[in-house]
Formats: sequence, structure tokens, C-alpha cells
Amino acid sequence: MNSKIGKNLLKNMKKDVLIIGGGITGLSLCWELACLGIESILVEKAPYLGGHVSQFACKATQTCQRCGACVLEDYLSKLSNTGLFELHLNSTIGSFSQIGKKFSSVVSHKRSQIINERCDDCNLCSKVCPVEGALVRPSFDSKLYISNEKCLNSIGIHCEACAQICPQGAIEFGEKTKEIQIEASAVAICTGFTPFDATKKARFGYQRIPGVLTTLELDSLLRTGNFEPAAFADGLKSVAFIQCVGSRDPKLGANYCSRICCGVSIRLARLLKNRYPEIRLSIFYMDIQTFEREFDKTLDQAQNEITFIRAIPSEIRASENNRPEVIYNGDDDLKQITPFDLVILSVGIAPRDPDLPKSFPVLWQNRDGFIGADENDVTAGHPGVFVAGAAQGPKSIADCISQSILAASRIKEYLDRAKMGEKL
Amino acid sequence: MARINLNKLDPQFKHRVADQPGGEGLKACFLCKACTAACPIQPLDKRYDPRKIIRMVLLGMKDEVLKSDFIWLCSSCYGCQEVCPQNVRFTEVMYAIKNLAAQEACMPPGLTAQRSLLRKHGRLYEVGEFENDKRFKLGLPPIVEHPEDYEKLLPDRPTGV
Repeated sequence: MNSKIGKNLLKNMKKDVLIIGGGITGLSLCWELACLGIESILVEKAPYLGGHVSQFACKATQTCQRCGACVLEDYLSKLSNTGLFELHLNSTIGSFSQIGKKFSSVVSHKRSQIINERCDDCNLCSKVCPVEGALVRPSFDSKLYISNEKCLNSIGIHCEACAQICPQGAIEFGEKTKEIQIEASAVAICTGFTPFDATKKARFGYQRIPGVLTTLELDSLLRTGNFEPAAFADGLKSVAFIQCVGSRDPKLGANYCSRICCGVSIRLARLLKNRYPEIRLSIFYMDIQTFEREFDKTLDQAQNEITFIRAIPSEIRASENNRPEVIYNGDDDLKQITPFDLVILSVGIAPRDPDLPKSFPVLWQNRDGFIGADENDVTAGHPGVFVAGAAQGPKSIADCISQSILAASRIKEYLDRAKMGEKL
Repeated sequence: MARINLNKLDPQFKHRVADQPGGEGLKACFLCKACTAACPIQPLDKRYDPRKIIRMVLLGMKDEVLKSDFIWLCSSCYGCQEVCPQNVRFTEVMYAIKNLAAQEACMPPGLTAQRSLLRKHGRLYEVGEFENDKRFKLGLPPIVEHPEDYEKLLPDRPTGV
């Protein structure tokens, strides 16, 4: 797919739909549109496709836990066989205008700075990079990319540490931003979410106490195979999951349920139990929300493997030997201070700024800061502008895909009516 | 735990507490127990459990709450309020409950004694000749008691109703 990027640079392109965001929603929408014979342009800010889902591990134990992470690969392989879309990685929407029913936009494209063909994956660059997360590996079998959001050069600070150490000369700087003119009849915003910043819940000690991680970090460690129980001094014996970190918390501006975290935590816990049967697992919750179909069965099975404690801890502090200690009120009304080897904060879904130019039609935000759409729909109040997936509000992978299917049919309907010259 | 007699519950009680200043957030409680875990009193006296007090208020157990002595155990450390994700402001809820208890003449003897001290001296500790002599020797001005304001604030009857 990457080979397609270079072909149409600087060419004025006309396609039916401009899709902003190449996460699971954008990709599935792209595929659904392709199935309907509609051509689209996919613009993704990151140097790789898949968004958050590309960091998720397969959570199968003896059987599939239906977490949905593998769906991404399905879509990528399906899409690589269709010619009905143009892909722009490392790109952002520069300017935007609307003439009649046509949207036109300039997409600015930053060149990916590691040349894939030359890179031999020695990993030296990530060792010298001063910024954490500037060199990303979206999945364990992919090569490294430079994240244009985090690299010092992209924010105007000169740094060539990685280019100097690279033995293959695969890293190149100084490429100018290229701009591509795009025209489309409809726009779909699939910009997704941002995970809740767990440092805002300061009492839980995230980034302060060793051994406190978020579900996303654990997921990513499991995916890349970097999760090493042996790294713990006495081995990994106990793991706690804390629910509702950044969900159902009006104090921190998140007065909504993130809908996915209970499922994520229970699946991760069962995966850990399956791999390391001697681990003691506890889940601290206020109530378990099972939005998914037949999730109650998974929950029943999980209750044999995991201790569910109906209490939200007041604090997580570091013990004398620098392990996280969870302070909570137990089922017997006694105050408990329990040490764990690892505490996983089940972070919620927070709204993300879609980072669109000012000339873009103004989108309304709902109470929680997500992009508002008509209820149970994907229309955003402007003819031709659609919003799907987690940009609208917390959604699971399955919900995002079903919304893409809805969006595809709505877009098809819109384009057909526009072609027939109907008043919209 | 003792049985709850449904006929004795007061369905209006939660509204009365919620109508008091500070009691507004009462009905938002999710019972997550973060407040109880943060409370320094609960490990000492299990009857004082923020989560259970909220439950009792919401159920309408008016007599059990107002006539109890445990509602006066709150140390006002605001720990519960600090950890509450739902913004219940439980320390303020406790003040609301204690105000209602005072209105219903359910004050413990210690507080009644403090009240009469305030009425009599305008302060909780009486200042007499001995203290003012000491202050004089240290070059400090004497303290004059002004109980007049408190006489207006705290009328004759100890209930305040």
C-alpha cells in the first residue's frame, strides 16, 4: 500500500469522499465505500494506519475472547486489494473550502523520514532519540516510523541524533512539506479519541509510582512481546485493575461511561491468567458495564479466575520497597492496604481535538466534548459532512465498524441525491 | 445488621438534606467507596461510614441518622470530598445533616455545653483574671469577652428552632 503514496503527489485529485482519520473507523468506512463502488481519499496524520487498534494485542486464551483487535489486519489486507482509494499517511488537512456541493481541501503531506527499503531495523535510532515516543513501531512485525507529532524537527528544534547514528543512512531530513489539492463531494470525520490522561488522577500515582500502568500500555507491551514478568524482583504474583479512571468522573470533566474499559480489563486479566496461571488478579470496580453482545458469559467465566472487588481505591501509594499499594475499603468494611506487583489503570476514552482548519464547517460539540452528531446517526448538521466512530463518543471496535457501515450507506444516499441534483 | 422498617422511613428526608446548602450533590453518589477508603474515622468506628450514611439518607432513615451519635464523629478533613469522582462533597453533606439534627434537637451533650459557653463568653474558652494577668506581664493587651453577638445568634432555646 505504501507504494501508492508517491504516485499522485501534487496532482489535483477528484474523489467522492474525503475520509479524515485512518483508524479502524476510517479504514472500515473506506472498505464499505469501496464495496459500494465509491472512491475515497484517506488522510491519516500518523505514519501508519490503524490508530489505537494497531497497538492492541490479540487477547485469545484457549478460545477467542472476541476483542476485535484482529479485525484491523482483515481490513488492511482487504483494502490493499482494492484500487478505489488513495492513501495519504503523515498528512493533515491544511485548508478547506466549499463551493456549492463540492469540498476542496489542501492536504499537507510530511515525508516519512525513515526510508523503508534502506532500514535494516537495528533499532539504534530509537536508543539515541531524546524524545520518548518519537520513533514508533505500530506493531511488532513492522519497521520504525518517525512520528511527526513528536519529533523535535517537526516542532522547529533542530536534532539529527538518529540520522547521525544510522549505519544505513536511512533517515533523511530537510524534505519540504508537500501539498496536494483534493476535491470531494462528501467528508467523513473519523478522528477517533484520545485516551484519558491518567496523570490527571494524581492520587493513582501514574508516572510517579513504578508498576502503575494504563490498560493501553499493558496492551501494547503484550502486543509487542515486551511484557516480561521476570523483570519483577520476586516475579509477577499479583495484578490489580482499577476501573473508571477518567470515566464517570464529572470532577475531571468525564461525566460518561467509556463503555469499553470493563471489557478491556476483563479480557486482559483473563489473558494474563491464561499465560501466567499463578497470578492473583483483582479488579476494583463500581459497577461492571457489559455493553457487548453476550458479554455476560465472559463475565461469568471471569468470576472464577478474577477477584472482583466492589470498591474504588482512594489512593495508590508507593510501599517501602517501591511497589504500588492500593488503599481501599473492602467487602467486610475494613480499610485495606494491599500491595500489588502491577496496577493497571483502566483509562477511559476522552474526546480528541479533530485538528481541522478554521474554514471547516463548525461542528458542534456535545456536553462531553465529543463531536456532536444527530442521535444514533452519522450526520453532523452540514449536508455532506459525516462523523463516525469514537469521534462521536466512546465506542468499541465493533460499534465503530457498525457505524462505518451506517455512514457508508448514508454517504451513498447523499451522493446519489446530489448527482440527481436534488436540493439537500 | 438490624432490620429496616419500611413504614418508618421518611421519603422526604433525602430531599430535605439535598435542599440544605452543601447537600446538593447527595443524589449523585455511585457508592464507589472511595470516600470510605479515604476516611480516617471509619477504621476507628465502623458506624461512621460515609457510603453507608449516604445510603441511609437516600433510604429515608431519618431517625437512625439524625438521632445517632456517629454523625458527630466527622473530623471535617475533607478527604472524602477530595477523592469523590461524582462531586458529592460529602463533608458538606455532613454539615447539612448536622444542621438538620440541630434543628430537630438531636445535638449531643458536648455540643450543647459548647453552645452555652459561646453564649456566655463569646468564645469556647473562658478568659479570666489569670489569663489577662499573664498577658499583661508579656506586654499583650487584655482580652475582653463579647458575648452579645452570640446571644443574638444563639437564642435561648438550645434547639435553635
